[in-house]
Amino acid sequence: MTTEQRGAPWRMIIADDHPVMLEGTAQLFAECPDLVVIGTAITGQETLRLVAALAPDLLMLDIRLPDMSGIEVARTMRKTAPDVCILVLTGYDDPAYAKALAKLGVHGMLAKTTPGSEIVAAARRICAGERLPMAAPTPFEHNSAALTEREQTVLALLVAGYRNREMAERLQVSLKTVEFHVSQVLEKLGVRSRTEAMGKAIARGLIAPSDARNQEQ
Amino acid sequence: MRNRWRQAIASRRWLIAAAAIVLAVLYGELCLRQRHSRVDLGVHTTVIDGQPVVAQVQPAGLAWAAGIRPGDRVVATTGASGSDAHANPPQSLTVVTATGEPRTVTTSPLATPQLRYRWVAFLGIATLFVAVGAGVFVLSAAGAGPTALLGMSMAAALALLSAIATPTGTVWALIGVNVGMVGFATMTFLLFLALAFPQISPARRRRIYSVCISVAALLFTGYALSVLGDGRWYDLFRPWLFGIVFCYLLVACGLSVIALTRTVQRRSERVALKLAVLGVCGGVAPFCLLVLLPGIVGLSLPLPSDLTAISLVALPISLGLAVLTQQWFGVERLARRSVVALAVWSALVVGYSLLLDGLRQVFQLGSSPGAAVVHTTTFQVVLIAGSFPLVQYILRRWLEREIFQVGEPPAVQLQRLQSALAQARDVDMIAATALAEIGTVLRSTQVWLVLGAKRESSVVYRWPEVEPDRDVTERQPGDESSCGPWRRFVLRAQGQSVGIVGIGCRRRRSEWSPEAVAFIAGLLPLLAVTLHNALLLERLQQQVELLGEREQALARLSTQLLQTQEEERRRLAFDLHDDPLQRMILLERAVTEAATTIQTTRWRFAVAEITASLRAICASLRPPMLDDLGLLPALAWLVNDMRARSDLEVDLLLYPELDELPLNPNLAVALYRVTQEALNNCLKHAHATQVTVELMCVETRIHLRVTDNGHGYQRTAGRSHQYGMGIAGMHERLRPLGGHVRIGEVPTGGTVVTVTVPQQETCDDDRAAWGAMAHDHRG
Repeated sequence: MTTEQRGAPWRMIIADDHPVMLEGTAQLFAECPDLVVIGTAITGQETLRLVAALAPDLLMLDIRLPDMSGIEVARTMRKTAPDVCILVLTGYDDPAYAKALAKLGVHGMLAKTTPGSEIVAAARRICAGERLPMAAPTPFEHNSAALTEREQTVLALLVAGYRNREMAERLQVSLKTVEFHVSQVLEKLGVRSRTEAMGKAIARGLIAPSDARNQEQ
Repeated sequence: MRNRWRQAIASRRWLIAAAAIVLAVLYGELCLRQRHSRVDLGVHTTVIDGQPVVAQVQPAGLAWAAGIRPGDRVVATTGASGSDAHANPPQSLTVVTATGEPRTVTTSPLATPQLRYRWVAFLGIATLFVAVGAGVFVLSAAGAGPTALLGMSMAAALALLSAIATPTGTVWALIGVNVGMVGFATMTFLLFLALAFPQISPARRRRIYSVCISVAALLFTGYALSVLGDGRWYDLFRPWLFGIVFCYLLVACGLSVIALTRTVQRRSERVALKLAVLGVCGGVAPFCLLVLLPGIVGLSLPLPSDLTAISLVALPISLGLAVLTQQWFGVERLARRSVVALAVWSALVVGYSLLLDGLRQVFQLGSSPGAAVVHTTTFQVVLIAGSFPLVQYILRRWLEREIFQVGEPPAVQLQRLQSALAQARDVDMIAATALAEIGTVLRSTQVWLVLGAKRESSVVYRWPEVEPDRDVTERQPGDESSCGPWRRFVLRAQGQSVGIVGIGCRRRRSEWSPEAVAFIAGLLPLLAVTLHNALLLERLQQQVELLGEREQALARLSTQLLQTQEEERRRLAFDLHDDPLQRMILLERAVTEAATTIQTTRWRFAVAEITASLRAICASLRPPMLDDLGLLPALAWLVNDMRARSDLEVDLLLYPELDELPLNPNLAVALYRVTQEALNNCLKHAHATQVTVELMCVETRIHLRVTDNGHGYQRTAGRSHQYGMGIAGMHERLRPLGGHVRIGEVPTGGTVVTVTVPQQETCDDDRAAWGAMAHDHRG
């Protein structure tokens, strides 16, 4: 069911505790006639109140809210307003979140770093009744591009036999950041150790041994 | 001690002692035989101005018994052959006494049995003296004292036995008596000199000995000359002789007191001293009182000689019991006891002599003189021997009890008090018990005890008041005007003053009995030590309490610190996340949407790197899923992080029932941090390559187990101080939640950390509190 068929734009509420982020997100929809932002909220309670009062079609929800977590908001809404679609826009792209949110019947989840056009597209798809795959931020099994460029670099170095400290030196970032990247890679690959990650990366052709050599050079 | 005695007996001294006893017995036997074969009157006459006069009378002789005394005028003699009275003593003698009464004595056969008891008594006393001296001589160590004691007893035996007779006649017997007396006195003097001043220099001792021996020799010579020569010399000489002997004995008594006041360490010397004092009290004192004193002042012996002889045996026995059965507490006590015993003895002697006198007159009525003498003698000996010691003992005990209030000996009182003090729980009770005991035993008006050396911390206990007075401004609670005189004693234990005891007396000049003094002397150190210990214990308990409080405060503080640290991390993570990270995300989004140029690509990379770095910092401070999703996803994240950081193979085993486990946020955080610490330990210290994290919930308890394949706990802890701190941190985190950590080793050598903690249901208040806290931090 499209907007044209419906004859009225989709009404949406955006909940985010950071005003600049809130505004940035709202700005994305300023040009879209079929998606109207009818309200914004910066706390969980306010969000619930607005949802109850305005009965929107879509709630764009952040996980970090000052008074309660976005997950709590989603859980409450499953009981109080089950018809409202929820698109979670989060800074955390950890699969654990995706799993937890999928259990709560959330329609979609996107990383905040996702380009604006994709966010708008996702909103449209959800409003149309589609359900985004919940592993959306890391659809690794289907799409190796789910690894960011940096993560791919790190994986290549990993395959080439680099230690974390060596990677940090080479990439000129902190050790903590490298560890974070490696952790993300392991998480996304669903492996139990770095060694396993190497094997899987090569087996799946995510990285060619030559790539690793290139990275090494 | 036993060895010493054995050594003493093994030495040759007992040969000397045995020889002395044998000698005494032989001499006594000889004297008795002489007596049996040649009964004489025991009198020596001399001629003064043409008038025969009695010069000397043997103390145990017939003449003495008949009331004939030196100085009586001789009226008639029968049986004397010629002038040689030594060879043929007279068969009968009639004299006129100084008061003009005529007295006659004959060597009648009837007189012999009466005399025989006297002789046996004399022999018994003499042997007793020698036996005591010989026993001390054998048992004690070498020294002047025991030798002198033996000499003294030998001299006494000589004097006593010579009083019966000598094989060489009356005159020599008299000389023997006097030699024995002088020797006895000299030896007594020397004995007590040696006991009182054991450290006297040899030169001075030699001088004293030579003076004593010279005096004795002078006496002997003078006496022998007077006896063998003119009788007038004898009259002149006798008071001097007796006076010097009397002085010797008195000085010996004084020396015995000095000897007792000195601390005598060695047991054998103490025993010798006790026996010597026994000898003085039992032998010397009655001898002085009854024999010498009348002799000096020129009186005749006023008492029946049988009674004197037998009671003289009874007196040392009674005295010995009095002295030896009680504990040895000092001179004053002994002197008092001796005085009592002597007074009882004297009174009894007088009473018995009156009684016997009456009896004799009863027996003499209506019976023949010979039968009367036999009956009287038999009856009085039986009466005296049967009842005298017993009556004396009973009287003495009764008097002692009445005069000194000796309910029980001080040792028993002290023992009872000691057991009472041992059962006392605290200082208050000890003080109350001791004060009540002192007050009761000493019959004081009031007793007080000031505890505490410092003025500000003093406590005063009073008897009969029980309630302690805690605020004392005056050191001396006793007021002389209202309560009478006080005696103050300072309690000292281990060189420190513990407190002061004040005892109120009933009268200003009242003296304490030796028992009371002994009681106080024994009690004060006991009380001081007990109080000192109790005070120490009290202080120790206070310190333990204080330590306990401090420990609790420390525990609270550490909990608080951990909580603060957690909050700080959380706030920091949220702050970083909420503003810088959000802005970087927006920036990243903007840069991504911008036209792709080399410059924007570079920016994009840089921005993405900053975002990643910020997220890494936030997550390491406090993973967001711990708050958003709960413990299990957080643990999963932690394990993954650990895998990324190292080659450690980490397995996370979660039991399915935990999936929906509602956990108290505090508990979740604690379990997360403990797991983190355990994993860090595996990574940093244990050199493990494989770790398994297991989390399960059994009934209402949550079990977390982290097992590695590293070096094991013992080796790891031994090498790293930090490791121990980490373990302590785990304990601290779990303690407020009622959980505990066990560190063990698996058989293959790795460490296993097991955490058990009760599962607490999530409480709404808690959650609200956490939310509010988060809100606050945000604001």
